[in-house]
Order: sequence, then structure tokens, then C-alpha cells
Amino acid sequence: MALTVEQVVGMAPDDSSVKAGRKLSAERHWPKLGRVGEALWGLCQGSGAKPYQARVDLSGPAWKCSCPSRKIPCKHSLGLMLLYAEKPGLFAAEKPCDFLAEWLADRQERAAQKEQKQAEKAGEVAADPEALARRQEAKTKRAASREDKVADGIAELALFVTDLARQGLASVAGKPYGFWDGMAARLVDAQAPGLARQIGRLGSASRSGEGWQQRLLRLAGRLHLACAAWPRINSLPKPLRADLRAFVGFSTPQEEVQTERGVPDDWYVFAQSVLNEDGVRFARTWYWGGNDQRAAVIHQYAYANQPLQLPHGPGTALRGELAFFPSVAPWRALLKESVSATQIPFAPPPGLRSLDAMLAAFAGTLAANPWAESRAYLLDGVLPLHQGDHWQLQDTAGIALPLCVAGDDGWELLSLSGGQPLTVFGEWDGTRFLARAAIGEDDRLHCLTMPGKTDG
Amino acid sequence: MAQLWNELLKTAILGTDRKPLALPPPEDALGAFVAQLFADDPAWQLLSTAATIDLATRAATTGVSVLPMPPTCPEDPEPAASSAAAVLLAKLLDVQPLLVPEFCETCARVHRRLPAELLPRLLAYARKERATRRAVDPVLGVRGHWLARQNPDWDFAVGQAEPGPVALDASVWQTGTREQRLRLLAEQRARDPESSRQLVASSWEQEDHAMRAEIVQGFTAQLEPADEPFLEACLDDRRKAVRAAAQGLLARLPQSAFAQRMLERAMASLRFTAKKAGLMSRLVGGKRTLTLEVELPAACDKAMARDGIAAKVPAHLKFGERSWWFRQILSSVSPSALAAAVGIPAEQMEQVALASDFSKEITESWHEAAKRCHDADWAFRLHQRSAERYQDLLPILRPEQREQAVLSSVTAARPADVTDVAQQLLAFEDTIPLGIARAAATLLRQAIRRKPKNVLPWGLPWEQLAMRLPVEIAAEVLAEWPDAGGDAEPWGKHAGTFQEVLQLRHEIRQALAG
Repeated sequence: MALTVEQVVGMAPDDSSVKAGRKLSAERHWPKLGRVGEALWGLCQGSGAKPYQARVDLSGPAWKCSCPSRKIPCKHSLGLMLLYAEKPGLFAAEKPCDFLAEWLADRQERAAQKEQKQAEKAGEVAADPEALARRQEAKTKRAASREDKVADGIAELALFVTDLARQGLASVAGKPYGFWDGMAARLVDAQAPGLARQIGRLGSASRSGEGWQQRLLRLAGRLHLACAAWPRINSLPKPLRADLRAFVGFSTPQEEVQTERGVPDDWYVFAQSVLNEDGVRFARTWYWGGNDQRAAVIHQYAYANQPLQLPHGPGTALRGELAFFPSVAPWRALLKESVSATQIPFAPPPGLRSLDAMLAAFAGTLAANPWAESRAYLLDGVLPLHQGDHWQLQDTAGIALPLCVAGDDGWELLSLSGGQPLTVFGEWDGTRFLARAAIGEDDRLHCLTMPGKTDG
Repeated sequence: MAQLWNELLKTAILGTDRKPLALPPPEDALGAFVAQLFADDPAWQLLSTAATIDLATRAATTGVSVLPMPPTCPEDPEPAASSAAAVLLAKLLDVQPLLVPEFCETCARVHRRLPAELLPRLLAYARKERATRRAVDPVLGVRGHWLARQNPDWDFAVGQAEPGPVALDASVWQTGTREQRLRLLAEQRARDPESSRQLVASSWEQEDHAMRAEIVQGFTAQLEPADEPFLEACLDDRRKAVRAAAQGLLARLPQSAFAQRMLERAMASLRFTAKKAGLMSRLVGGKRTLTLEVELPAACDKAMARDGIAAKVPAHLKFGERSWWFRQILSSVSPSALAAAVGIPAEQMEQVALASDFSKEITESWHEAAKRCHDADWAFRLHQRSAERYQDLLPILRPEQREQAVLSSVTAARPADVTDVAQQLLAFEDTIPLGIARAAATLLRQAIRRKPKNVLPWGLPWEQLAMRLPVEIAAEVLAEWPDAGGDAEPWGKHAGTFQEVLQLRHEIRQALAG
């Protein structure tokens, strides 16, 4: 299977891993390597006596390495993949090795076990109506207790936000992180992790430099809206209830999402980002539906050394179905498992033809779901403009919006454009456009932001 | 809406306890909507209004550009470099920036254009690494130069392929710092030696002594017979450093009056006599058997002192006074010129000298003279005799002589000599000639295969060697490169660096072939 350097870079947990991986992508570091189907293996001579055993299953993708690094994929796995991307000829096909076979067998076994367990569980429960009832009862009880806890947490948060309004934003200027962390921790305890994350953003906004009061006030307003709506949630229309619950931190079980009707389209992967926060890796993959001209995002989480099962790398495309999480303005999605997807070549699909089209689409989203954060759009015919470090994105109709770029990304966009409108993919949050990718020469996808560089 | 938001923000900053919210009279539907929000609870009123306006502004953003449009970049007629080449350049910028100039030079030779997304990184690199700008500039292409014009940081690349660094203004000679003035002198000499002499003459009387010595040193580059009058005049300077610098340069001009005076002094001390100088043998050009007698100078006169011959023997040298003068004279005459003046072949002159009573004084002085007078032919013969003993003569050999000399010493070297060989190889500032490179690679391989711990010094300039090896033999050298044990061993790491640099250079060549 073909793997591109950009895809590998997209899988890296951070910039420094890419650099380290590049250093290891020289032939000389790999005295032995091989490939079995879509799995790669290699021995990398490190500073220790024993070489590291790196293995990669590209079909996952999944990685395992005998090195002590906690990054996944580690620099060795990245180096091996980069070497494969650059010189696939070095990897003799069907050249097995013990540690790769062991790992693959292990993974297969675990997958089988998981399946079996689920089947057993379902079987057992189905076989025993009493157990089913007991289980159902316990589940209802747990759910009820969580509802209570969340209600308490939200009441406390409402007080916290009202205090903020009464005492003034100036009163929290320069407060230590602990001040915000305390509230966030109480919300985590109250099983409202979504709100806890919002408190984290409040904390960051309080020290975000010039204009911080505006940003803090906007975020406080959004939180207040959630606090005020929560006691009356049952009066909201059903899909909006799901959006509020998602904002608070309730997650719809994946099995439930899988039962939603799939949305068929040609889904193009435009960007991917992996964030590493306190041992939890959070991956987002952004898709653009070529026919419907709408975006979707797939979230994935992995804890500690769990491998992140990234579905597709940027620059790939598939014909298949996505199942969306319930929402008034569906956005977060999963790959519909019951429908087989086929890989199709990445030929850039049409995007929105003006910034007005994007603004209108986003206004619609916000009108339906006031807790919507941002949405991704593919924009055709836009041009990056700059003055010093200040960037704007302008369309052919002369509309211009603030453009948010990291490092030299603005210059890369400008260079790709050559002063002519080009196609850009990114997220709009109502105040600024965060560019994540652009279509360059020969219709190649060029990813802008390195994973972990600007997100947060 | 802006007025509403400002009022809101003022109250928010101070808090509703201290500054009650005073909403302006409603202007539009939004104003009317927020006016009826929770007027009985100031905090709720503030927060609800903020939430509403946040949503309204985010949903109703419109933007009109205030920034200037960049001019459109013209088409670049050159074909794009392969994607493999682009991937390679991105990798070099990350892990081996040392090779970026080589990539650019190769790319410029085959007239390939770089992908646009790499140009900002390449410009940022050239901004930091001033010395690489000349190599980078040609591959920036139309798009790169267009891009550079949009960012003041990249001013150095705005012009179309500049022919080198900007020349210093001539006024620098009057107003510049010492370093700037010397740089100007060097630039002038390279361009137009005559004008450089005029420049020096224009201010010579005002220069302090230290500067005078430096200026004379500056004449080393592009030394030519026309420099003689100035240098000869310097012999009357009050400062020894100025005189010594001028004497050294005059010794390198065989036609100079200085060289002639020294030659005369040498001839006066050396007497070659034919043993059986029969008329017949001279007529048929047969080989004469010569002997050499030496008559040491009787005194060190004023003229000799002016030419730099020290009357007093330095304390650390255990020479007789007259022997000391003799050595100094002989060290200032090119041995080849001396042989020509005497009228016998250089080799014969050397043989005769070796047989004389003063063989030690004479051979030592001639070694010195070869260096001082840049007598390449003489130096070459000495180096052929012992590369180790006469290593100091390597830099003054002519390129073809140096190649031959190094080749024979590399071929004859044992793995244990690898450090010496490496030093000799570095005498080639650019690319090591092919034959030598092949022999050196063989030697390096042998050195690695043999107990590397005992033989290979860590400090071998591996990276520089790998940079200077001709890239066309990279593949053959890499094919037979032995396993040095990987990064676990210090020398293995160095040998690995060598391998990696060479590999990357090979890849550059491959990626940009044709």
C-alpha cells in the first residue's frame, strides 16, 4: 500500500517527533526490516546494546515499539514509516519476523476476545431476562445518580459565573491556574467534563493578552447560557437537548450512533490533529463531503499506551457512509461500520465558493445550536493577505475575514497562492478562520498546522 | 451593536456590584431583545446579554478587506522538481541543513523549480545562514523572489540572482572601521589591483603602523610584479612588522630587485666548480661533475639589514654568526631560480649541495626557501621524497602537483595513518579529486574493519570528508561501507555520520538527475 510522507507527518504526536523520526528515516539506522501485508517491522540500532523492535500495522494504523518512549507513534515507528514512504522498495514483501507475528497475533486475539466478550455479554443477558432487568435497573440508577450530580455541578457553576459577573472580570485578572483548576476539578467530579473543559478555556482566556476581557466575557456568556438552560432542558426540542448534553459532557454511546442512518458521500480527509493532554491523546480527523459540501469530524481518544486508531490520513478519500452524533446541526461523526467504504483517489472536491456562503452556513448552525464552537469549511477561491503578522483571508467578492495561522503557515499559504485565489480548508468559529490545509500545485493536499502546534 | 457591547464590557470588567449595567436605548431588534432580558437580576442580565451578543456577532460577521492585495506572481517557465526532490529538501532542512546549499546548487544546474510550500522555509533558512544565500538565490525562482518581496525579513532575496555580496562603497576607505577597510581592499584587489594600489597610496602617510602592516599583508592575494614599487618602498618603513611583511612578499616575486639582490648574495657565497671540466665534455653537453664550496658572508651590511637579514643570532639558535647570515640569505632565494642562475639542473644542484660540507645548512634553508618563495617545483620534489616530513609544503604546490602528491601518499598509507591522510585531504577545499577519493575511501574502510578502537581517532573530520568526496563515487563507496557497529560505539556514530551525509548527497544527485 502506498504511504506518503505527509500522511506519516500527520500521524505524529508533535513536531519534535517528526524531526526525530526524520533523523531515523535513514537506511543505516535499520539493519533489518521487512513487511508482511500492511504490517512493517524493523530493528533500529539505538544507543543501547539491544536494538529497538518497531512494528507498524498500517491497516490500523497501530504501532508498537520496544523503546521506553510514551509517545505513540514513537520516533522509531515514525522513522520506519517515513523510510517506507520514501523507499518502499527496501521493504521486502512477505518477510515475516517473530516479534511482528507475535504482536499481530496478539492484536487479533484481543480483538477476537473483545468481540467474543461482547457477544457473550449480549448472549448471556438475552438468555436471562432477570439479569437483563437487573442490569437495566442498575443502569437507570447510575444514570439517575449522574443526572443528580450534574445538576448539582451546574448549580455550583451557575453561582461561579454569576459571581464573576458581579465582582467583575478584573477581579480574576492574574488569578493562578489553581483558581480555575479547582472549579474544573469540581465539575469533573460532578461528571460534567465538557463544562470542566470550558472552565479551562476561561482560565486560558484570562491570560490571553490584549482583548482578554472580551474573550472571557464571550465564554462566560456561553457558559451562562448552558447553566440557565439546564434546568429547563426538557422544554427544548429533542436534537437540541443532545447538543446541550454534549456541551455539558454527556457522550452518546458509539453503538447508539452506529444505529443512526448513515450519510453517504465521497469523504475527503483534509486535516488531522493529535493533542496530548495529561496522558490522554485526543485525535481529530476532518472530512469534507464532496457531494453534500459539508464537513464532519471524527474524535478519538486513547489513554496511556493505548494505540490511537486513526481512521484515515490527510490526503486520502473514501466512498462510504458517516453516522452523525445526534444534533440539530450534525457535525461529529463516526465511520458507519455496517457499510463498507472504498478508497478513492484524492481529487480535490468542490468547496464553498464565497466567504458569504460560509458565514451563512455558520449562522444557520449557531441559530440552531447556540453551543456550537466552530465548524470546518472548504473554501474555493480565497487569497491570504497580510500586514506584518496580521493575516486575512479574502474571497473574490472582496469579503475578508481574520485568518489565524501558526508560525510560517501564513507565508506557506501565500507562497502556494502566488497571489492567485486558492482552495483552503479550515475552521471558522465566528471570529477567525483557522487554516489547516490548502490545495497546492498538481492538486496535492498540503497540510499546514503540524499536529499539536497550535491547537489548545 | 458596538456601543451595546462596549457598555457591556465596561460593566463586566468592574462587576455589576460596582457598576450597574446601563444599556443604551435599543436601536434594532437585537437591542430590543436584550432590553427585556432579566432586568431584575443584574448579573443574569449581564451574562444573558453577553451570550446573546456573542451569538449575534459570531453569526453576523461580515468583513471587508483593509489590507493591500499582493501583485500576482508571474508564471515560472521552469519545470517543477520531482516530488521526491521536494521531500528530500524538506528532510534536509530538518536534519542536515549543511547539505541544503549542495541541494540548491544541483537543483539550479538542472533548472528545476521548487514546490511553493517549501519556499518560506528555504527563505527563513537563508536568512539565518547568510553564507548560503548565493546558493539558495537561483532556486527561489520567480515564485520565491515574488514571495521575498512580500516580507521585509527576506529583503536579501528580492533581486533577481545577485552576483555576490554588495560591493562596499569607496568612501569606506576614509570612514570605515579597520575590518571594513581591509574588506574593501580585498574586494578592490580582486576586481582591479591597480585601483587598490591607488587607494592605498591615497592614505598611506596617515596610516598607523599596525594598519600599515595589515595593508601590506592584504597584498598577498593577487600578488603581481606591479606591486613591487610599493613593497620595495615599504622596506624603508620604520616598523619591523611592515618591513617583514614586504620582504616576505618580495621574496615571492622572482623578478623583483629584492629577489635579485638576494640571489646575488647567495651566488657570492656558493661556488660550484667542475672537477673535470674538460672542454670536450662541455661542448658535447656531457654531465659535469661539480663540487660546491661555501664561503660564508663576511659581514652583515646595511643593505642586507634593509632586506631583512638579522645581524644578531637569536638566543635559541646555536648558529655561528656568519652561518646565520648565510642561512637567512639562502632562505630568501627560490632554489629553482638559483639553479637556473647557476645554470645546472635543480636535482644536480641538490646532489652537489648534499655532498658539501654545509649540506645541513643548505638543505634546511632550501626547505624554508621553498615555503617562503612559493617554489612549487622544489616543494614538489621534497614532498615526493617524504610526504610526512614535508607536509607543510602541501599548500604551496600547484593543484596538479598537489593531486599527484596526495594520491601517492594516500596510496602508500596504512590504516594507522588515517588521521594524517585526512588532514592532507582537507587541503582540497572543494571536492577531493576522484582518484584520491577512491584511495581514501578504501583506506577508511580498512581502518574501520581493522580494530577500530585502536586505530580510529574520534576526532577524524568525518563530516567534512563526506562533504568533499566527489558525489559520483558515493554509490560505490556506500555499497562497500562496512558495519561500524552503529551508534553504540563513538567511532561507529562518526562513521555512521559519514555514511549518512554521503547517502544524502547521493540522494540529492538521484532526485535531481537530468
